[in-house]
Amino acid sequence: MRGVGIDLDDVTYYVGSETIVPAEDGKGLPRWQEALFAAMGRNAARMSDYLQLPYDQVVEIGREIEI
Amino acid sequence: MSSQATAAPTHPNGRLALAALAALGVVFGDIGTSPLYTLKTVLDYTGPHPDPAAVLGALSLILWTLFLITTVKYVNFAMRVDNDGEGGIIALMTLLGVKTHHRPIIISVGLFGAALIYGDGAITPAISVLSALEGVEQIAPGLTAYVLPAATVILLALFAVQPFGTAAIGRAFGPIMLAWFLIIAALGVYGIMQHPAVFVAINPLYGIDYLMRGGLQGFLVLGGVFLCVTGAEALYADMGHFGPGPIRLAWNVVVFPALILNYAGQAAIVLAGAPTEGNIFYRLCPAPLLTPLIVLATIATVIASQSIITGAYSMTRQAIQLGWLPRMTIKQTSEEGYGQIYVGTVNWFLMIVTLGLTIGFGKSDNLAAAYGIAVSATMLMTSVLLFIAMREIWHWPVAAAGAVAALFIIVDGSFFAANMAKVTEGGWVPLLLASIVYGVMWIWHTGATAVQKRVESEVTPLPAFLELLQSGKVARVPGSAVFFTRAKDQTPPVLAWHVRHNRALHETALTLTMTVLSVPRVDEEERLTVEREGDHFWRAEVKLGFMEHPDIPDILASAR
Repeated sequence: MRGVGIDLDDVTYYVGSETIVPAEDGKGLPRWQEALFAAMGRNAARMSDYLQLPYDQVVEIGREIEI
Repeated sequence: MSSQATAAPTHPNGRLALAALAALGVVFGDIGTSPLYTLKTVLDYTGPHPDPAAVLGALSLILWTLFLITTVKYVNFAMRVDNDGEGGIIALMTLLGVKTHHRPIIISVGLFGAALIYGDGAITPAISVLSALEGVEQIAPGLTAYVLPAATVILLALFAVQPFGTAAIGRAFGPIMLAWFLIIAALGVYGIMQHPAVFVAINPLYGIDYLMRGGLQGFLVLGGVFLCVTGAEALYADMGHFGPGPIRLAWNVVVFPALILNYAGQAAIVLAGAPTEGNIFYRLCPAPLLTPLIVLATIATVIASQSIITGAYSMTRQAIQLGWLPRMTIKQTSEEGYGQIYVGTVNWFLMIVTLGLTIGFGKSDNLAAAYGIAVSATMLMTSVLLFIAMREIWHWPVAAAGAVAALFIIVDGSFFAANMAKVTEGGWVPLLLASIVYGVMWIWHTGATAVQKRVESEVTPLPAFLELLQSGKVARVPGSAVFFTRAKDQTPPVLAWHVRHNRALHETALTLTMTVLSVPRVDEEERLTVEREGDHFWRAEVKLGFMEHPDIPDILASAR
């Protein structure tokens, strides 16, 4: 991406890594479905792998998301 | 008419024939190996010494089912409704339920139809390989005990080699299946010669008469008859890869005639007095040729199973891209060609279910009870979606679309009802599997939507962030960075976090959003858009089709 000024061999990719926490608020999905969704999220392939990013150029930033 | 269908005749004839040969090895394995168990299952309903009217009636029903469902419904209707050339229930659902406006009911119908395909995808390899190997009972009854272990080993090996891909041997599939079709056609002719009068069954009145007089038993026979078309949905699902031209050519010239001859031959030898216990397909074969035929049949069923497994990977990738299944690791096993991807999770899931079914049911007779429900339900869903397509895409008047759809739905509905009778004998297995897959899809999608909403509610608008950058309070350090985000017009949360904690940003920064469109593929020129938002600060969007696999570095590298 020369027009933008990015050297793809040197660029750092920042990817969010979300941990889903079922909220106790009773809103949204029933509790067991939220728990199942959270489990699927934990076991899903990593976003950086899915996007085929080079392993040594990725920074994953974790955060919690309550649903 | 689709653009692809009109483009097909411009193919040079040789290329069309080659594409049709390749399609034989992928698309027609399932429907092409059904003669191994269809008439046999029907004869289980009619009893060991069926009267001639029952045999002719059943044959007539098989021939007309093949014609109505495969030739009329799939080849001549469904294959004319495509989503940018792509067929199959997910492409059809996306075309009708997502592309123009969001329609939850159409999406549910399409997804449940897709979920059912996993259910039957696990049964097809089990019933096909078992029925192919059951031929040894005719050579050496003593070997009967080894059929189940041998089938288990073959299926285990088939799933175990999947990670390596099949590109190296895939080239042989088409010619092998061509040999299979020629041989079953020849066997059929050999059978017909023993009782040529069998051809009266081409008259549909034999089938209708049998249905009408047969009462409940006649109706239940439909559950067996239906097994002859269990592979028909594949013609539509694989349309995007081969194009409708080669699939039509292969079906009309090779597969359909071979199947008609073979089923007629099987019925003819029953009428001529052949014993009906054991596998009637193998009774067509002269004894000295039986061993090579069993070997060929087993290879053909393995090829059929291979395309079902490959189809499951492809459907999974589409569902992941459209946001209906969790991300799974997708491996590219070879550069080009069909079956180039491998999804480990799906492979092991199918392997466990298939082996469980093989060992649990033990014989193809027993598996026949579980088989059919899921496909007939998927076909019913496809018919409902086709009705909507006829109305909205072809703009047919309601009477015309209704009449055609009603015919399909009556046929599919009868088969579904007849199959439902088998629910307690094993039909619950694919239904349960499909319900689980559908539940997973629904929960994943609902959860992901909730996450998306949560993310969007917490982000800062981009202008506020750009102001902060301009103010000079954020140091710009050498280097460049790409920040992925789902919040397209907002400040990416990872970017906000980075700046908050490091009080610095790379000299060049690019935010990137991936959007999956409701088309199978996106043109190269439209794939990436980059806009300048500020000083060395860019915002990019990658657009992908639901058949495409994201390779972000590759996409960025192709940009100038």
